[in-house]
Amino acid sequence: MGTLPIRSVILAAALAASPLLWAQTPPEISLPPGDAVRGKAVFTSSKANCQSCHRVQGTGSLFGPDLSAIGAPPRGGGGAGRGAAAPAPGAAPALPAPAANAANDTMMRQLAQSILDPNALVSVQNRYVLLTMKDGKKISGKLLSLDTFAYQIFDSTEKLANVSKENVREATMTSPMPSYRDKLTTQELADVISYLMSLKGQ
Amino acid sequence: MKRKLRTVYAALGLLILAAVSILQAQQVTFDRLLHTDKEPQNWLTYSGNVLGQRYSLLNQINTGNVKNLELQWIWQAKSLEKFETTSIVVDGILYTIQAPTNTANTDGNTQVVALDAATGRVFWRYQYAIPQTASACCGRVNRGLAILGDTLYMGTLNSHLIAINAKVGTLIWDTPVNPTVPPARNYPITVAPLIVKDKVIVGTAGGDGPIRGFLAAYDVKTGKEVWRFYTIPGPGEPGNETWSGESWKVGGAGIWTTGSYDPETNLTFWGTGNPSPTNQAPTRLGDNLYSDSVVALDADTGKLKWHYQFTPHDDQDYDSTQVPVLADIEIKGKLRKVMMWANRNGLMYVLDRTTGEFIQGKPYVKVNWMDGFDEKGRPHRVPGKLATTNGGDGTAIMPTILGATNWYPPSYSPKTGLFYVSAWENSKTGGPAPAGGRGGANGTPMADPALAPNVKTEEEGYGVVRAFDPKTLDQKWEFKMNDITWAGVLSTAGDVVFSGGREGYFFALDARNGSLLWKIPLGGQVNSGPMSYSVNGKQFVSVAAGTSLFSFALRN
Repeated sequence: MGTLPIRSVILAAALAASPLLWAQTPPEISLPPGDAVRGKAVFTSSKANCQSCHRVQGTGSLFGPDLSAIGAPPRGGGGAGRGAAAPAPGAAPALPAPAANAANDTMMRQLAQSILDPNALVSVQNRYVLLTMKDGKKISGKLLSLDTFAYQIFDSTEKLANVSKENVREATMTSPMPSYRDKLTTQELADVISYLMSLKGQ
Repeated sequence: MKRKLRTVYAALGLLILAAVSILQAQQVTFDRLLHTDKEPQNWLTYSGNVLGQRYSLLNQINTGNVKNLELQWIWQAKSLEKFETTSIVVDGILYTIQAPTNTANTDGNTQVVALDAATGRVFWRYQYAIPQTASACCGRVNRGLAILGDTLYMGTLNSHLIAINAKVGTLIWDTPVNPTVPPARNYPITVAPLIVKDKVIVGTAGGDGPIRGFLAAYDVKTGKEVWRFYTIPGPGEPGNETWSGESWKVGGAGIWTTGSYDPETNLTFWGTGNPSPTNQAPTRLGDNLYSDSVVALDADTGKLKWHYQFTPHDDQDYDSTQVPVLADIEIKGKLRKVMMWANRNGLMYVLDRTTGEFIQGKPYVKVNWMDGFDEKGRPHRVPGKLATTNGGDGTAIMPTILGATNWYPPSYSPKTGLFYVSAWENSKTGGPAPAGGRGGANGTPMADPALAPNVKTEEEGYGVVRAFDPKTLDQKWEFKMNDITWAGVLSTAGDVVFSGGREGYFFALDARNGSLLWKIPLGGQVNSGPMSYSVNGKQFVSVAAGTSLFSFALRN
């Protein structure tokens, strides 16, 4: 009895095991100015269908990451000491203004990358697994934990499930989020990003 | 009348002799510690025998019936610290240690307890106050006790060695092991002491800070120091020249894993910790002897007989604080008295334990900081694979600074002839950002009592129990876990290997091929080495997980 290897289809995911997600530099992207109000309309439209997976301020599915505070400014610091887990939110002071502007730009590019190429960079907290069962059934879920014998997931029907590896034929760590590269216009993308940047949480 | 009196005297004499011999039978003599193979029902030392093998001769539990193991009792510690203690068992009494409690405003207590080994019921408790300021780098832990006669010996986090009456749990003596130490320097004892003849040997941890590590032997009756060996030589002593400037004064090289003893040569072997400061290697140029080494000392005098340094001038925190495992093994047609060592640096070694000769060495996990040995066993470093503070090129170094293995004990089965090690594979430090950093295998933190989610991929590191043939250092089998492990290994004459890991499973493997025979989730991380004993003919296997101690036996 050994482990069933998870095939990481995301090279970047192997590097993302850190709270320092925002330290990654996503590719440059040129976008027109966005409008948050229009962006919200796109976000909630059936065309984009974002809420089928994402929740914002209590509305939408819990399956994907909650985006209620996705536009909140990143926090500085957070170097891992011996034995340190991820730093608690708010543990480090906010960045000074010039650094915050640069971080803002990075965040926008990051959001664009996540929308256009969802598998390019996935944080440890948002790893998803696609399990192909021995009977052919497929189960997609947010990977909460895995051990030698089972996967602990939050599945696409919003259920917590412990899936025994005995019943799994293949496991692939991949984001279930589709690419919006061909679904949104450049303007719509800019608008959605503006909307997301406006979401600062409570 | 005289004849009658003679008969009475003779009878009385016999009675006294009988009483004395019964009392002596209850006493744990050093002879008993040397011949634990004659009483496999007991577990008299940290490693089960003075050779460091962590092997039980009991075979009631075996590959055929281990699936019928059933929990017999739990003992819950009143502590939130890791339970790293290996219990000892003497004639049906189990002695174990509660790690110091760590409440916000009060001093914590280390608690020694005597339990009925068959039922877990408590006979007595002995509490020892530990000041809040006393701590080790990585948890307020204690790995175990030693026993001789009717006396238990324990080191404390505030640098004391104490002797406790094993029958009633009262203090006999209390010796500060380093009374001259400035308060700013921290010399915690986390290691289980080792008894050799009439001496109890301990060393102190704290080598991540500015200490000068040492081993010392104390008289078992009085607690008076008999000898002291500094793991960093002083001026004028051979090896002092391997430290630049004054760095030898604060060079670390702590002791935090129990050594072993070879009665044939009267040598005691101990692994030493990293040089300090760990990642500021340019401040301590040179090989930094005897850090990251095994030292072989005359057990009567503490004089150095030989040494072997696993990682010269270490900048990766590759403490050599593993249990030296001794056995006589035929290598290339010749019976050799060897020492087996699976090191934190990712390399496995076989040394001649009488001379320290390097017989062979080989990586047992992925290693990239070295690419070979010279004929004397000195590793050849790969250029650039250094800490960036030491001129490194910033690429990932394997294994991680938390080690291919660490303090958790390995096992050797004379029956299978295999050496069993729990280890981390694919672990690394540094490399493309964001790095794993001090957290180890890409963010895996130090051990913790409680279960924690794990979402690492295989490329990011995982735990294994691996079996090696010490004749060749070839791997014979492995059991893979998804998460890494901080659990030791026990092998038994029933051809069962017991271990666990960070996932909180305690499991049994076939010692011959590694197949999984039994498992149970214990609800906390296994941060200890299992051991085995028997009471009234019933074999138990015991392991600590989370903050509790669990004992298993076959279903009736």
